[in-house]
Amino acid sequence: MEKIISNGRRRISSDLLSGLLFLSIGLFFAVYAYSYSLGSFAQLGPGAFPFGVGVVLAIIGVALTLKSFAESGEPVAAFNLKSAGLITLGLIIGGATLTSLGVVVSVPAAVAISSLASGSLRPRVIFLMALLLTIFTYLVFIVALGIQLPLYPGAH
Amino acid sequence: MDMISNLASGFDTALTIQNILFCFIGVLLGTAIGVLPGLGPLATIAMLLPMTYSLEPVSALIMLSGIYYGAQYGGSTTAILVNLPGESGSVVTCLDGHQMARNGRAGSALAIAALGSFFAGTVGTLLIAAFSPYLSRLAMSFGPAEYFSLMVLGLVAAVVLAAGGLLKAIAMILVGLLLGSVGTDVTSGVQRFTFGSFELVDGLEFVALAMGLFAFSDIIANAGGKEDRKLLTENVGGLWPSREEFKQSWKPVLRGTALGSFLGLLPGGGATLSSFASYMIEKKISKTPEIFGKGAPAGVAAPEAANNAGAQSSFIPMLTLGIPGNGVMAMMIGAMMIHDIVPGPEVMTKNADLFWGLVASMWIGNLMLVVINLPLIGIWVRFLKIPYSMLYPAIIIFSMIGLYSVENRISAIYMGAGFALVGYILNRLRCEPAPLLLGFILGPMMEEYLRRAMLLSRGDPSVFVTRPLSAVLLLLTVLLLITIVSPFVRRKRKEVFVED
Repeated sequence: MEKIISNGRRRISSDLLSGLLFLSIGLFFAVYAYSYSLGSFAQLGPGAFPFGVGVVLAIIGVALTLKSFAESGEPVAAFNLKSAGLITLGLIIGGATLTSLGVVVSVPAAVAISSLASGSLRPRVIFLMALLLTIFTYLVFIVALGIQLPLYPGAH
Repeated sequence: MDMISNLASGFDTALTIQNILFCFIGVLLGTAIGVLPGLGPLATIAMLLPMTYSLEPVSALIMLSGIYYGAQYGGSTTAILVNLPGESGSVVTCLDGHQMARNGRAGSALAIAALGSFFAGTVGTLLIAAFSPYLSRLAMSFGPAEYFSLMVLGLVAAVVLAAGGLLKAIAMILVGLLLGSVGTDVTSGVQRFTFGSFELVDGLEFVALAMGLFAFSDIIANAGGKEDRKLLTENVGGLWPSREEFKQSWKPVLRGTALGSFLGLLPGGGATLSSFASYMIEKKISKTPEIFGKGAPAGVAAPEAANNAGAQSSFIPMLTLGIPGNGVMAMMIGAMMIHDIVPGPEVMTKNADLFWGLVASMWIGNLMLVVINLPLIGIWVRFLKIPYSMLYPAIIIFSMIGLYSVENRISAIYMGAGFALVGYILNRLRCEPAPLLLGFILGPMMEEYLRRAMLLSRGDPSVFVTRPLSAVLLLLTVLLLITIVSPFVRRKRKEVFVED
């Protein structure tokens, strides 16, 4: 694999990685689209457009990959797995509990989990934020905007 | 005159209590968002989109566009006071605006930015009113082949003129086109790429895609970062520019307005490109180029006028042709579709109230920005002190409930979380997400026009080059692609986007 040196660390070229990603996305859609009917020139089938676009995307993916061998380009930026994981998890837990356990569980859970991503807040601040945002959600979304959401477990 | 009576009827629509209120909410939220670094207009509009579902279409669009130009305005406040661009259109304002603030002229820099923006906004509004009818009349004569070619040109031009790697941007458009094809195919009824999932039958949820790519993935990228916001001063000083500063500013404002109005029309143009280009020009033609970067009023006036003019005139292709030139306009088209308005030249005839009401509200909104915000500067300064670590959980909650409220479906939240990861990965691979959104919005329309054009020509693909208008559009696309790979343009392009 083509690697380049940046800040004394070896980093993979972003062209290479995105090229491979686009190649696989393009191929995936093209192959799948082929299984829907391509139709005729006069009556393009449901597969024609995504097939064509998928093929072009795959070609550009190859071009990017080749380009990464020719010139170094920008390296891939560092991944922050902790914050990616915590933000996503916060959303999923918040969503999973929203209609079953209600706003009083879902909102504080999402706030608490996603707050951990910054790592700079004290528990007291997180607690206060969870409280304020729960009240805010109740007043703005449920009372003012009339969105059908249970407030606490079992309330409907 | 037609334009006057149209504008008058527009003001009738825009001046109802309800629409004034939503315009006010829009510019206020927009300014707040623009002031807070790390929260751009795209993320904000995505976040607030669900709240506009229950509004009348015209009120929804008035509020959303208020957010856009309000954010331009707020962004310059942060640029001047903290030396951080609140959003990308105000990157160059940092250069001289912040230096002016360091020289004790913060209030004056803010006022120059505000008045320049207001002037540019007024001109932009008049331009929209004057030129849109002609463009939409021209577009009425378009057949499906012309439309398809126009969209190809629009998409290619949008990435050529925007910052970032060209190949990656084109690839992102194509990914957007593919994602847009997920769901039931309207013509054949076949379910494409749904993998048996009931949730995907109607296609990917636009709001989930937008929030994931613009709001959530930004949060992931910024949440772990260090907080580095030093406020220069709490005391912004007198708000009036001196006579000398005024003299140095008015011509750059005129030039910036002209340049911004023109660049905003082009796909990929809009605020960011306009402000960069006008700063370069001012520096080049100035008799005292050495004071640029050291607090030259012209270096604030020109780009601020240009970015506001560009923001306004980028509405023209969106409203008349249904072609979004940048991410925000794609968002506006998404909002229109949510309200069952078919974007394109017919908006002007079928939804005349909406069109003229929106145009009139832009001027009202710009006026509100000057009148309300200059005296309120003290409040915005306080806004600047909110730490990001307390801000983003609120954004997450707001977006999460908003996503659910779109169709009362939890799956929209999961979809948003999925696109958060996708957006973050693409961000790390240094791929801009805006072209993907353009492709996603235009994809279904492009496919439809392609199929119709092929059907009308009985399967002869040469229709795209034998119909003169379509041929010209495709020729322009090819020319654009050729010029961009030429070494000269590549170098220039790098110069313009030197900050990226």
